[in-house]
Amino acid sequence: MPLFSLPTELILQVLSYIQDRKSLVSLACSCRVFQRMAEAYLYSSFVFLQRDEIKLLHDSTMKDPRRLRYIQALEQRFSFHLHTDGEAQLIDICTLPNLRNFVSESPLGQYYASKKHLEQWKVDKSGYLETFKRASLLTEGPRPLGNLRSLILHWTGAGDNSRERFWQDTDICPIFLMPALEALEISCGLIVRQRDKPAGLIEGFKNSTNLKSLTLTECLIDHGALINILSYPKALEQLTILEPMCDWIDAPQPEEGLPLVFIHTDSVNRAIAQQAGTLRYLQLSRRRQGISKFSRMVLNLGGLRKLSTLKIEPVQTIELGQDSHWELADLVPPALDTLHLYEVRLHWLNTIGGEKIMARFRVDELIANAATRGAQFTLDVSAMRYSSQDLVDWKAPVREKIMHLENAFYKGELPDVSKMTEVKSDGGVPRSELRRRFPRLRVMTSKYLGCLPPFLYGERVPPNAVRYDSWYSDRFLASPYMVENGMPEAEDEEAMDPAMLEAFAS
Amino acid sequence: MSTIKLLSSDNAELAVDKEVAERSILIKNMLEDVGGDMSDQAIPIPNVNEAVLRKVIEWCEHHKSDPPPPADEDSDSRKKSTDIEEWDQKFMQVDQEMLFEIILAANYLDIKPLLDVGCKTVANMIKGKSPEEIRKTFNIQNDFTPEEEDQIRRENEWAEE
Repeated sequence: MPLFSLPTELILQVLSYIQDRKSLVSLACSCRVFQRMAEAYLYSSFVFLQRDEIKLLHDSTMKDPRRLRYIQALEQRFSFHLHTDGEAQLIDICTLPNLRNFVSESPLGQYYASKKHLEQWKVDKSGYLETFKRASLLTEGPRPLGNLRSLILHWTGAGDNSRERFWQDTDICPIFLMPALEALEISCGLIVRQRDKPAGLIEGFKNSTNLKSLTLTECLIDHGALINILSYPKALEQLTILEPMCDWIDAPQPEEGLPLVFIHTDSVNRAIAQQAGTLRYLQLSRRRQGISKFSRMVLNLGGLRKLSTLKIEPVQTIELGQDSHWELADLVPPALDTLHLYEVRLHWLNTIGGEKIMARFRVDELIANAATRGAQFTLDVSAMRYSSQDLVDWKAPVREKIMHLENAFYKGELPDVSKMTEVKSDGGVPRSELRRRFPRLRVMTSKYLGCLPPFLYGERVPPNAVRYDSWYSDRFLASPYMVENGMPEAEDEEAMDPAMLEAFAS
Repeated sequence: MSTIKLLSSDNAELAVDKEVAERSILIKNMLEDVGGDMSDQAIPIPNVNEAVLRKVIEWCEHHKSDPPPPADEDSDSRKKSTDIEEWDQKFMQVDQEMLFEIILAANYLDIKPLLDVGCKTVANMIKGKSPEEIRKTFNIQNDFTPEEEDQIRRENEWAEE
């Protein structure tokens, strides 16, 4: 019984275990049947860091156009620090009928990028947009890229402290209107509302895309544009909006007709409410300071029946001497399991600070709702980063601050498990298990890694290290990575600044 | 513990513990469909002969108390490793004919972990070999001219990274 008498799908399953490309090339050279099968794997995904490498793909697909059909994932990550622009034409992704994942990074997004390639990038970018237009609802069918499910565009412009960092488009940009796309992530976009649209255009796009996940990183969005963009998907499940991290000196200003999304509470609530039936995950970050007046952002999420995770940043800032903060409106999302608050100033966590957090986010109700569902609610708090000097000036021990937070979280009903008599009837419950019957509070820290979002090729996302976990008897964790099942998640201590390490150690 | 009977393609009747036989999702579903009572009737397994069926049952016996495979198919972690546990390695030390028969039977009977072990075994027979060694291993006719083989190598080599 020869190998080829096995059905093709079983041989392909065998080949799925061969990860090294050298073996696959050998296999392709052994006979024609294996050539086809091995090439289906060899050509399934590509990551290009150099523009000129694309020529090689052009050449080999010219020799055998079947190879175009094998390509399922393509990444052109030209933010690579050794990237050199070449003359090579980019791949026309419309010729890849089975493309599922596409990642495009501009060569301009890094400080070492030179402006001389700006012209070339402009041509590339408009070429892509033309392609996406053909694949979008803006074009009558048949449309290319029908199998594209995930699209990531890091199209950062040239320039560092300037508005050139942002690429501008509108709420009818074709990337928002590709009917089969399920996940879209863009960064450094400045998305405004298209003026002078034909009447009824937006209404016609309502509930017409399969988008499940939308991530806007370091983006500035006009609130009206957001309302329109969130009207297109039939059933959006995940939404992440992160406003730019830095206070760009000459970033586009709201008074120039570009109102920032997070200063219009009603618009944001209205935009999100359009996906109330399906949203499970919501992350909102308003990182800019000083540009706009942001005082009280009241999120009205009571209608989001499925929302299980909510992430909010920052919890509270002082702007122009004014206390600014997010809070939840009267009706809380009924199915929320996890609330994650970022950039919390630990020194603000005196008794009043902790109670303010609990009151603003209606933590009591969230805990009670979770209990009704038979679940335990988790509050995660990521501490704002401090410099060593901050800690010296401020002196108060971190543990004391976290105890204030914990007291506010448990409302004085803090489970002191060490004093609980272990219930030992028929097997009993071990002490370590007892804690899990209470809601969970975790405090995390992360280390600044020296780069701003979006995290481009080779850039690591700063990991969150859990420093305190109310579910574990040794609640200040000596090894912050010992979480879920006691298995270390990572070996390195990198996530902890020395200053913070010291503050938590005492 | 209840026992059931399986009837191989060459009409051999094999008695197996129900729990062992239910490693096969096909048999498990079949038993559920008939309400679990197959005590006097043998279940026909028309695609698998006695020798292979005995081998498959041997594997199921050894793995009867394995935890069920994770429900959501994390294909990445599955693909990463071609590690095979020692007992399975020894079990798979059979001639190629039998190896392929086991793979076919595991596929037909829907015993995913056994199918994985079989496929990994074949994958390990390919890894690190030259084209000529691959042809020898699987007794494959070379249908390329030396020029063609060379060309295919050149067209693909760049993709090696």
